[in-house]
Amino acid sequence: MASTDSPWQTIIAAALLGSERQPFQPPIAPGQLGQVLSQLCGRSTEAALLSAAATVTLHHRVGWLPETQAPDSIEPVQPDDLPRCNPLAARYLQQILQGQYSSLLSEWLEKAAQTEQRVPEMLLPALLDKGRQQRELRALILPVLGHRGRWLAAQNPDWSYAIALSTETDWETSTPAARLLYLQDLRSHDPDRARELVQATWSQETASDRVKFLETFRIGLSLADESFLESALGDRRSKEVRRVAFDLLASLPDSRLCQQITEHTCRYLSLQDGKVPALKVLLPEQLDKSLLQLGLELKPSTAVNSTLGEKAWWLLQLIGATPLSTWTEQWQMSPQAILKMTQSHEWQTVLLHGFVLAAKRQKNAEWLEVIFKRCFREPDLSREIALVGLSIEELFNMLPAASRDDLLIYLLQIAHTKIKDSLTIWLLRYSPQQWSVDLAQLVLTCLEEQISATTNFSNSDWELRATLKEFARFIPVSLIPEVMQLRIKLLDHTAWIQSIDDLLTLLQFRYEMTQSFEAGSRR
Amino acid sequence: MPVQWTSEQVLALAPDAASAKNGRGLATRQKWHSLGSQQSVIWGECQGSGKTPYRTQIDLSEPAFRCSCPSRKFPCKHGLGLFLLLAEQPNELIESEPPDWVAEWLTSRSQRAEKQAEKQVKRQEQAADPAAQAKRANERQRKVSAGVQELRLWLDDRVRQGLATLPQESYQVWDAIAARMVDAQAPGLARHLRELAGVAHTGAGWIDRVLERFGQLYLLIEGFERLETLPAEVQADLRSQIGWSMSQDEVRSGAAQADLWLVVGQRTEEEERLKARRTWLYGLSTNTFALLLDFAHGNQPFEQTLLPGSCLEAELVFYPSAYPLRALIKTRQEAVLLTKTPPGNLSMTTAIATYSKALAQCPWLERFPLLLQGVIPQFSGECWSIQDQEGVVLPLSQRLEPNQGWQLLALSGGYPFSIFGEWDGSTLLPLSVWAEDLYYGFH
Repeated sequence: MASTDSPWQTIIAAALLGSERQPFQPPIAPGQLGQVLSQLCGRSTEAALLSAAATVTLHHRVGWLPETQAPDSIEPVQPDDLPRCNPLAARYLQQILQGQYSSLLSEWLEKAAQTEQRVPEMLLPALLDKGRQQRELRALILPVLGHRGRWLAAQNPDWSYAIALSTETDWETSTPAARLLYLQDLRSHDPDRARELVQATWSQETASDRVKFLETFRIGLSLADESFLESALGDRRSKEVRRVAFDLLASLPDSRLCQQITEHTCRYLSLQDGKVPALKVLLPEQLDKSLLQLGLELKPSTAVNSTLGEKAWWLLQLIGATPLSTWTEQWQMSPQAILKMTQSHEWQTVLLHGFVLAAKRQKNAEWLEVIFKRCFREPDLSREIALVGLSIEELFNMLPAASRDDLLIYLLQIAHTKIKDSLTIWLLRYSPQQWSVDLAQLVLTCLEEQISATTNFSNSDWELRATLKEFARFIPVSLIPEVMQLRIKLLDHTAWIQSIDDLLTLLQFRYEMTQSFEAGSRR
Repeated sequence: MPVQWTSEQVLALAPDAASAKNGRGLATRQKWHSLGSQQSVIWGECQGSGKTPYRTQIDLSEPAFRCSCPSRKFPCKHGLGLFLLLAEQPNELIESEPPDWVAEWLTSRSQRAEKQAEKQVKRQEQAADPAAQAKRANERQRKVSAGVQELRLWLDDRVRQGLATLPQESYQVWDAIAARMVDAQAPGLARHLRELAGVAHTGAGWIDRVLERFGQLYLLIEGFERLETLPAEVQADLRSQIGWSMSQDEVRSGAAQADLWLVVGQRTEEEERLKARRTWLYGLSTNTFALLLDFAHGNQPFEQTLLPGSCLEAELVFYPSAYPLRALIKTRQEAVLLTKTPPGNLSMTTAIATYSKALAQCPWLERFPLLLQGVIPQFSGECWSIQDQEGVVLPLSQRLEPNQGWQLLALSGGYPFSIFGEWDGSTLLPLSVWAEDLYYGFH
């Protein structure tokens, strides 16, 4: 039997079978092992078996030799890396990665990038994993990985997102995620070259990659992209590709598409002169072939729009792709005046949604701001429409940082929106970065007023209290003394004090975290 | 030269994760009213929830902690916070005259050390009732002999019936015989049998693993039955395997070995609220390894503070063994210094040869210390291993968490580094790494 070839296999076979069925004979082995085994012959069959097992086991363990393999050919990491962040900053990162103050991760990463420091080795795996789970963090993670981090990422397919394509030659062979990152980067400084790359392999890409690559055109979009986008508009294989191409072309007010659509829109929307100017709306009876070819859609595509009738939906699409300057120039009216006319209009929803769509596409800050303020001022516009229908958060996000803060100040000061209003809380929390000192101070004042006035907790008080801690991300650390003052003033409001303490703790953590980067780095 | 502590070393002292977290929260200047230091003592007053601040102090020479807070954890979060401050922002601790409460503590500490020494002398005197002692020893010897005899019959019986059905049998089979060994005052044998219960259910290859262990047990039995004929060290190994434990005083009476001992690795494992800590030391001038075992219940602290990556000048006494590893600290100097990467074995082949020789002397070695220099970690897609410059490969333990493998690779960056770990005969469990002269602990 093959299995009885080695002494060990002989012993195993005998042990499995049992010595009462077949008496055990110590196996024959060469050398000293054989000598020891042969001495067992005189013993009882069980004793011989167990002793043989002990002997062979030990013989094997003592004689074990490690394997030798050809050395791995991994190229080591290149030297002269960025300096590591200092141990204190590293500890803050560790705390954040372990889930404490995790909302501060992006700020930590930004600080490290600004001071040109890298993440220490021991924290790289956890950070790279974070980036794998949270796509939005990737752009922040890349600059702080250093050579070491990118080298490590190259060893693990899960982290392929972190390996930047260094040259164009990798373009065709890399993973979709890496190509996408490369493309996004290239669009930001050489959009023409990026377009040429996409064009070169366009027909071989899958539909979902075509959509993703096309989305990168939002970065550095210009009329130079027009011809390519027009060809994508004719993509026979993917509706989603056509939709993105349409959206991009509609975002270029000088595109042929916008001009053609404008001609149509003007037929349905016009100004009725009278004592009080009013908007005259005609609904299109049908969607003609040329419009369908341009990319207009017959059926509403989203749930909100589907509450509109078909014809209203067609008009909405037309207005959304018409340059807003058409109206201000043609009618010689300000955006405020035009929007005022939509108020209580029979087709208010269509008009408003159409203008919002156009303003977003054209990134027209003036219109966005006017629309935004209107949402808060008009009692006829329900919050639901503002939040869901007009996706106000997106609107808000498109505003430049300074206008955002100004708007919030406007809301709190002029529009007298309460700070505990859930929409206000929401907008305050939505800020992509720290508030301006003015806004932060105003928020603190509002908080003091609000909390001092609270006697019974209502739902919105609960919400505000639960959110308070998060405000620490947005309050400039220079205002810590003011927050401490606030705490002292509100000491009697015991229901709030814990939340204010949490806010203060987080704010202080942020302060120390920021300071830790000042302390310098270590090699 | 000021001692450079690292946050990692400090956090390794935390009794649990919550303490580490809270300690970190207190490691900021703002939380402390006063901070000071003088030579090897640091102190501070920390504002807690109460009116009076907590007074926290650390004697770094050990280090020893004391805090006026009511926490039963040790060290408490204040102690950890203060220590972290020292590690991270040492300039905040200004050299000054210790306040009264610090000075008092220092005095009481030196008094206590004296008292303890007195106690020990007393204990040794009390222990002396030779007649009663001899009687107890004889009684146990008789019980163990009977137990060993019973185990031999049990093993014979299993082998006679054949082992094929073992994986289908319940744990009770093992529990019953293990319980008999406990009754026979042979807890070491009981431990081997309980471990075997698990081994029988490990799937493919179980028979190899079971039979190896059966063989070992049999060797133990045979050795015990002719104990008197064996050398004293072998007897000591057999007795400790069977479950006799030596009292610390007995061990301490042995010859001491003085050296500068580097704490090369540490690992704490917890089972049923009992924490067991293994601390490996490496004597820099004698090139000897020593293993210190410490136990603590629940949140109780370990008696000794031993910081991985640090050095202590001490006299150790080894437990008698054919290959002595386990040891006790007999005397300990106050100085704790840090060094650079320790010298390790450059060749795995040599290191494994050392292990083989050790195993030939003492076949009961479960964990063998390996300190290797110039190795590179690698990942095969399934398991981690390390490779030396000659291409020799040692697999790393499956108990290594996935992230830890990647941490090893990150530390190496493709360049060789030094590693210390426990070798169990087939895999290495890494406990420490030195890369670019910095110490990293894997716990």
